[in-house]
Amino acid sequence: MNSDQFKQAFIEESMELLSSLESRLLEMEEDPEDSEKVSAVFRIIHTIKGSAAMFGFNEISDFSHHVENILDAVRQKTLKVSRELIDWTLKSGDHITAFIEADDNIEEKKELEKKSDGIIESFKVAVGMMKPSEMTVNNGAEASGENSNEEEEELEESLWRIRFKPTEDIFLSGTNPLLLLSELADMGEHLFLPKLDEIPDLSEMEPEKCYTSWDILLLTTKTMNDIKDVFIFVENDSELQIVEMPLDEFITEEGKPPKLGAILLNRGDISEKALESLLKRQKRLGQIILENKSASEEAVDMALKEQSFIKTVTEKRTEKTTQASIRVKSEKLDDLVNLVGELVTIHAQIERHSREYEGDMRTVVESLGRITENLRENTMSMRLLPIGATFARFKRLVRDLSAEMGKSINLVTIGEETELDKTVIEKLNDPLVHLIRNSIDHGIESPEERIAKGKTAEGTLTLKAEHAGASVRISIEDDGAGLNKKKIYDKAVANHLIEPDAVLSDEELYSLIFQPGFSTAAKITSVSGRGVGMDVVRRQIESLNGYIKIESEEGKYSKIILSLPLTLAIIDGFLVKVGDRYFVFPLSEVEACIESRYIERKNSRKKMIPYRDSLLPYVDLREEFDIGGQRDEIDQIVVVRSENKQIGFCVDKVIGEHQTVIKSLSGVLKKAVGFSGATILGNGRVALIVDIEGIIQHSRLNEEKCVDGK
Amino acid sequence: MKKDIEANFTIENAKSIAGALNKYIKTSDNPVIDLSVVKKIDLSGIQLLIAAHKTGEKLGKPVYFTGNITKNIYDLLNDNGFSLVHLESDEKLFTVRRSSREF
Repeated sequence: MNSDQFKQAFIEESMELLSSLESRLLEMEEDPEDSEKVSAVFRIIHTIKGSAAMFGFNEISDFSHHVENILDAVRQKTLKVSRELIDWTLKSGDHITAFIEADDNIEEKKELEKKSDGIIESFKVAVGMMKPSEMTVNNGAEASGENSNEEEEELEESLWRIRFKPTEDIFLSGTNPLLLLSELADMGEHLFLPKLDEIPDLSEMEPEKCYTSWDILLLTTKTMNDIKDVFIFVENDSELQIVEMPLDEFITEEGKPPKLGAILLNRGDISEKALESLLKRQKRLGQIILENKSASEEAVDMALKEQSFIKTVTEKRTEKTTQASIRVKSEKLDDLVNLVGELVTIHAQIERHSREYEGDMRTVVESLGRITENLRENTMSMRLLPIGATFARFKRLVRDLSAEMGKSINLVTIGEETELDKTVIEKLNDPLVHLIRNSIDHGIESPEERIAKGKTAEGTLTLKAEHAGASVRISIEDDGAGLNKKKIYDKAVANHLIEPDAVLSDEELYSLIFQPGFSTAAKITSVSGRGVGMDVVRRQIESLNGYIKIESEEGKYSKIILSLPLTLAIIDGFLVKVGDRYFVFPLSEVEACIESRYIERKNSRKKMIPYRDSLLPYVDLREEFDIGGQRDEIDQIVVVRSENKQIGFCVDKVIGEHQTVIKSLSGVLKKAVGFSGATILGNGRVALIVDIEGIIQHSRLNEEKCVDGK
Repeated sequence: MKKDIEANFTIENAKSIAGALNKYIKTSDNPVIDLSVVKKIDLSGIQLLIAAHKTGEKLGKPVYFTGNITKNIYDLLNDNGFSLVHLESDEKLFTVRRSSREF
């Protein structure tokens, strides 16, 4: 890694930490007594400080240091968690973010640095750590007072082996050896191994003598002198040996416990020569040593216990140092997905050609198919991210906006673990911000209004994500005033969007608010009401091949539902043919295939066919897209279910399942209604991917035109 | 026959307890020492328990302990690397050994 890469790694890590800072702070605000939550916030700032100093971002490190001091006071319980503390920590997080975003802009950094002292002083005044009259900085004194504490936290742990054999007369001097052990126990993780073989039987024993000695393993940040201090009053009469253990040597053999022989050798219980000759035998070493009487049973037992302790310690340390995940640039992942896409296409071609062959070739191609599919699934899963991080960001948005609007709002998030394609998540942020702002501004009423309506003063905003087949459904629901149908209707008439006597279903009426420039807000606020939001939101969701829907009940609630594809890159498709054209349906939405005779349908005015004891509306793709050629006597009807609606699509031929690499439509085709993309087939032909909702809408409009005689 | 021993299993009483235990183990066929009454123990007391066990081994008759020991005593043994090992066939009888707990 060169220095730029290190810097980039720092920036990425810090941005992640800062993003988690917000959610951690809000958790801390909810439960200020939970010391673990306070520590989590402290650790984030502490880590940023440490990394910033390491990568030369001194201005960030200095600033974080002061924030860390304030948070440390909270940790030490000398300062209470308050709204001011949360506010100013959030502001400090924003300041650090600004530093990171300023990157190499020296001018901007200087400006930010000028603000740093002011922010810290205001922070301290706000939380009562400084009087307003004292607002002059004395960083030097402050820093020196905190240094020792800080150093201690950054010290590495060492593993010590302590051999302690108290003098036989230790009891008579009034010293209790167990108290010394207790002092050691307070220093860190430990293993006390009492050596009992010198204790005689009762007839030979002098009960006032001490026969016990200990081998002690201690993992601590304390120094050799700190350990010696424990034995300061018994050191002269007792045998004491303190040796630092080469813990790193044990770690090199990853995953394996230290060898018993190495421990016995290190403890001096066996000679190297004896060990070597014994190792040549093929039994467990402990057993051989005992049989051979090369070391006592007690020594082997103690060494085995030591082995177990060291194993635990090294595993813990390895966990700390081994990264559970690696960071990969998202572009690399995108490249991988593209390559897998190419592979899927090539496999389709090979499969097509292999049909001419029998035997081994077919088997090999089938295996290639299985591997390709696994690879595809694995690669796609790498791009999936839980939506929780996005939801967490909104906690602050809701908190800040509700405070600004004088409303009390509780944000409930459900389904944070729901995974979505990285690209979809990234593009989802802005639409969600719009929708949440709308809910807070127009939806949820002020506490007074709510009480007057018999509701609780606190409104609830619920963000929910769930899987629904190959899509993910995200809903934003508030228990506010709901949509005012009359207002929407009147506004739509005034804007000439509908005729004054138009009869609309609720769904159609609500969808009017997605028209450009449509806002029923009585006043424009900084939050929303300019009428620029909802049409943009719809466009953004549609650009993700998703769609948006509204449910509402006046006075009770409004709910915006976004339905989004799980992935934008490869889907399981269902390939069909009409004339010489190919079409792909998303397989997850295909319910059944049935046959239908054209002759029986052609004279019927309504496009309906009998299906499972009811009538199924259908769209004839040949007619819909004006495809020429001779129609077969029997057509195939692909029955799909979309948004609780069942609809059939009449096609010539069903080809079957097809791994579909989605290529987006560009240029003039971008605005084509009824298609969400295209894919290249094994024979090199292009198949259009059907956007079921889009085709339904398109077909309905065509029908209306026909009925109207237009 | 069970042997009851003193409440303070400490250095002040070490000599007298050692003598009594030695005599009891030698004269008993199945020596079982009841630790119920023990309220306090120190390292000299722990040494006596180990020594009693060794005496039994030497005489070819295993010495076991019995009785509900207090949490304080249990913790003291445990914290310093000793543990109570129960006789497989009888949960009430145990011996004291170097701790075998896994870390």
